[in-house]
Amino acid sequence: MRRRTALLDLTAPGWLIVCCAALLATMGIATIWIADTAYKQGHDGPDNALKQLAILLGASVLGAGILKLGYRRIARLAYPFFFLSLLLLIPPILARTTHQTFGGLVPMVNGAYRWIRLPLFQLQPSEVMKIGMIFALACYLRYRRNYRTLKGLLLPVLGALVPLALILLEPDLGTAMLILPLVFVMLFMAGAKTSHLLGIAGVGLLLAPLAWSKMEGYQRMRITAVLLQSDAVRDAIRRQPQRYGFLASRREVEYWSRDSGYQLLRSKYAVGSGGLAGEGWGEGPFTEYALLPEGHNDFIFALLAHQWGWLGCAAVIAAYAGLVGAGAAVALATKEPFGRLVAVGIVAMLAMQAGLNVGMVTGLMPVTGVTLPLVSYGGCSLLINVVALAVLISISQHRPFLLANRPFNFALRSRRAIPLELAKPPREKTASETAA
Amino acid sequence: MFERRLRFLLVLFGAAALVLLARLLQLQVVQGEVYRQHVQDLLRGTRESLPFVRGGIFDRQGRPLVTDAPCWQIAVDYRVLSYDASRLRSCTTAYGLKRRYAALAPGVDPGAAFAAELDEMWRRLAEFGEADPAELRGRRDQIIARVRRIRELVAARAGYDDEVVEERSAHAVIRELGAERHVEARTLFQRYPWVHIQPATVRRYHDAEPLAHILGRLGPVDAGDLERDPQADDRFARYLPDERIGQLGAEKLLDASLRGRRGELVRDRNGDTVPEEYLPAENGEDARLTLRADLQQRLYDLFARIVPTYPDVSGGCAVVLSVDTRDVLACVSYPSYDPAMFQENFTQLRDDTARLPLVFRAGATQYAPGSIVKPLIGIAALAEGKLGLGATEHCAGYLFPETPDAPASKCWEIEGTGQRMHHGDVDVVAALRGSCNLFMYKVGERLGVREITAWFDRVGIGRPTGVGLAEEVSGINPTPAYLASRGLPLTSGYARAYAIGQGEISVTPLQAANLIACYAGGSFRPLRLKLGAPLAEAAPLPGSPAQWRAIREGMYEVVNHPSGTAHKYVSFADDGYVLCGKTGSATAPARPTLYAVPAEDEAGAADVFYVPAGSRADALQRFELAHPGWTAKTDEMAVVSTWPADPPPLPKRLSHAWFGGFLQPRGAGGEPDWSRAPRIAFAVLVEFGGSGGRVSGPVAAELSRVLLDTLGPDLDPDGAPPDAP
Repeated sequence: MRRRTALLDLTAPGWLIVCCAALLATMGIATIWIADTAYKQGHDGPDNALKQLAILLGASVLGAGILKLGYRRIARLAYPFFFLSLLLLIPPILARTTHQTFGGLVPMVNGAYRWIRLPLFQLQPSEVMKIGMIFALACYLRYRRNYRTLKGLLLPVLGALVPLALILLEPDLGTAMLILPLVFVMLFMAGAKTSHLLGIAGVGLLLAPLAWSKMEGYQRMRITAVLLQSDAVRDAIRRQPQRYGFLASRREVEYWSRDSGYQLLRSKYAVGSGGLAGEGWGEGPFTEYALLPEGHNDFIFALLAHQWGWLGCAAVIAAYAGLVGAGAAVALATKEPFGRLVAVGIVAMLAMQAGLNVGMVTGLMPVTGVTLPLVSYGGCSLLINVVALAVLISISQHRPFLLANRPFNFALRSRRAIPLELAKPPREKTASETAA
Repeated sequence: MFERRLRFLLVLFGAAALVLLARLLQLQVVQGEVYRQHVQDLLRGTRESLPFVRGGIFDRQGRPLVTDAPCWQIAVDYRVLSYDASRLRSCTTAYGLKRRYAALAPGVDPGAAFAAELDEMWRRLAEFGEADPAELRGRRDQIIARVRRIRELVAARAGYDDEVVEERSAHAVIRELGAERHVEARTLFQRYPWVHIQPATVRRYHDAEPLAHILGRLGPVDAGDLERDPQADDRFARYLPDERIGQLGAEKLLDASLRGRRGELVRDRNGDTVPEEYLPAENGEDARLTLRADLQQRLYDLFARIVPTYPDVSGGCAVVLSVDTRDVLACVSYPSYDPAMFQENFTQLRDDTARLPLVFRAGATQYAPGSIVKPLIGIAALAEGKLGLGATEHCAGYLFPETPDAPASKCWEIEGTGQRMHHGDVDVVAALRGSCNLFMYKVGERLGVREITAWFDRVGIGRPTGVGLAEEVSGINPTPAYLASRGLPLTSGYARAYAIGQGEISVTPLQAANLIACYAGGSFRPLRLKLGAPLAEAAPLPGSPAQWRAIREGMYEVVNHPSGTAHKYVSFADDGYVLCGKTGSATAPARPTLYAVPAEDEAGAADVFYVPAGSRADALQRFELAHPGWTAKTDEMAVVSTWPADPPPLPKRLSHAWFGGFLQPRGAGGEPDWSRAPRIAFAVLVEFGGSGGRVSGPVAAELSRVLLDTLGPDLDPDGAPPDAP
């Protein structure tokens, strides 16, 4: 088995991943730069953009290190890493329950405790948890098959619920909304029975009204704010407040555009006014007058859409599609079960996070604090995503096992695995290739 | 299996991507123009209301009485004005305080820095406005209280409590800055983005003390005004909650035309005006009153000279009318006040219950008319055929002998002597000349209450006069229906009382003046205060010219016959006119000025409070306002002092002195020329002046001289004074 170890000696999916990630990160930093200069009206330099760039470079170095080491060494650290992530979730929750910041170590931002302040950058434990979860789950599932029974499925699901609950306590609804589907996708891809998964999801859905009633008012408003975009819904509540009162009160409807719908409306204005080709880099009222709060952060996609229009948006989505496609190719190519599951997990994480974020910005999803991976400002998120992509590339650089069971392929009606088969031998190099 | 599931997952992701792309297509391409428009609206965010200039009020010849002058005011954003720590966040976002204090040394609390800056701002404001800091705080507290009240009202109406617009707008703290101080203010307060120097207007009065009651005043809009707003649908014309509108007098009467339409200024994010959206304010229309300001001023001066010479006289009023059009040429209520200083002097003016400077005597107070109704009874009896021209009645001084249980119906007493007049056999001319009560009793009995009150109605008693002032009262016309509603029997006693202007009947001086104008012109017409308003239809009164002439001759002899009631008090000699008139005295009780109100508080402590008030009800109301928590013992309330301070013991009575007159053109021989109609009629009332002739007569003579001086020898309401350039 041969591994490519030279830094620039990447596989085809590897190159695709690097190109797409570079495109996304460049658009992100360019937009953060504009947001910096516009929002601070020239008082400060574009320090957020520079910080982001520095972290990108640092993360790339870390990624190169991962390529050098090879992802399989990480596999050994999967469980310790998971428990470390769990531990990291503790301080924010302590801070929230005691209302202390521990000397600024765990600052409160917008009413939530999600960060741990470190000397160089702020660590977001829930972000770390996402990747920790992928590694741990892949590690747990790689040599088993008992999760094909309902009993065996319960442990990974319950195991996932622990960090989920901790993250909900912070509170970080966005990440929580992401982790649960991520676990499901990984279980699904590992071959868990669809009926079991659907059953668990069904139980979850039955509990939804209970969760709804337990939610804080502002959390509920975030969800209803999506519905209130529609004039028809607002009219209905105005006319029959008793009947639709569970959705929102009349008062909330009246003040929707200034209150819970404010961010959403502004974001839609920014996106909509971008048009087909956009206003151009650094152009347009939204970048000039800082009309959009959180424009460098969770809502960066709106500014992006404002500057580069529908074509720019299509490019961003195409870049994510490229990442997903490359990741899927990597997952297909490898026969190493851990790598295969990790690749699927990373792909699903990126795709779902991007989808949630774009859906939120365009008013299809509730406003939750989900960042646009690789684009949004945020050191921790960027670092984690670059590391994840490096792992993906590293997986692609490992030659497939010559002799291997195709993992996670279970006969539909049998508990028996498909018998061992000979993997195809690697293709001989053609004459032209040898010459080159 | 893995490949299939992966394919499924990819299809799922692909579908999601397509949905997102389609959504983006919808937002950006299909609805792009709509959103672009929204953004444009967002950019021209700040709208500023431009104030209109309220129309001025002028006299009939265009002299300014009250006008609006442009000025500037310093307003402070409510969020800063009402600063408390909980509003820091709101201020932070509104005024970028984060950015403002970003350069502060680390460890300095922005909240404390902001509070210190506010202290400095208030200090500067007080210094600049030359106001006591405590006074400025008072103004601030007033604004806060008013805004809270508005919020309560809005919450009560809407059903839920929420922030009102006033809590996000700026409120004037220092008003009425001139142009040069405005520049100073700009430089001084430039550093505070929450202090706004706004254009405004100030109501400027031009020697308006004689006109204070007629002009009325502006006051803040209250909740009721907002509900009754006639232009509630026009956002440029409707009342603003902090606007001042006409609440009394001509300001209220003419409010709709005096008010203009606000303009609007739209600024883009750079603070530049958007020219396409600039809407200039439409100023209000000027209005003219029928009054002559010069005449008004001179008559006011006349009262100011005369009233203090009588110790018992608390005030007086005079109304001058044009007989043809019934234009109100002058309408003086003395004492008055300076409307420009109304706010400052309010407490003092309100508590002056002896002189009552705030009372609009000419229109808002009603008095018994006394003998000035006698000519009306005369013409009524003549016209109704109850009396022949030249027919006489005998006056023996009393109607029937006085008995202990029946009050005597007597003729009047000669003041100070206790001696009763007995006129002997008098016809209508002689009866008016001597103001014979006995004659009027007999004629009045013949006419009866029904006829008498019908004639009262013909001359407008018991109805608004037509000037249109909201504070005007209608007087009382005691018709049979009125008596019935009070449970009073319709007896001849009432007819006798009404025939000499006593009893339930009461009139305002405006109505009295119109009554005299009816004697002079022979027809009734409502009064007119707004110049240019259509003239009301004149209603001729019954009676032949000979009968009317007899009445006017009687009034001529009152002044010019040796036995006339006013002859020895009135000396008026003019080549062109003779003064005709009728004296009257309206008995009146002394007016309370101070009440003692014994009261208890919740703890049972008792005390006596002294409340300046003109009536029991007024005293109680003021007491309850001033002393919440105390309960007045209403049956123990007592009058402490009255005006006049020492009323004479009964049976002597106090009375107001009336004189109603008109200037009759004079023929070549010095006799009145009855073929020419008099042009000017007037009524004078001197409160507690005693008998009509003695006190009001000289005022009337002076007034006639002023009339000739001011209006010129033709007594033309629009005429220039003879010596005017």
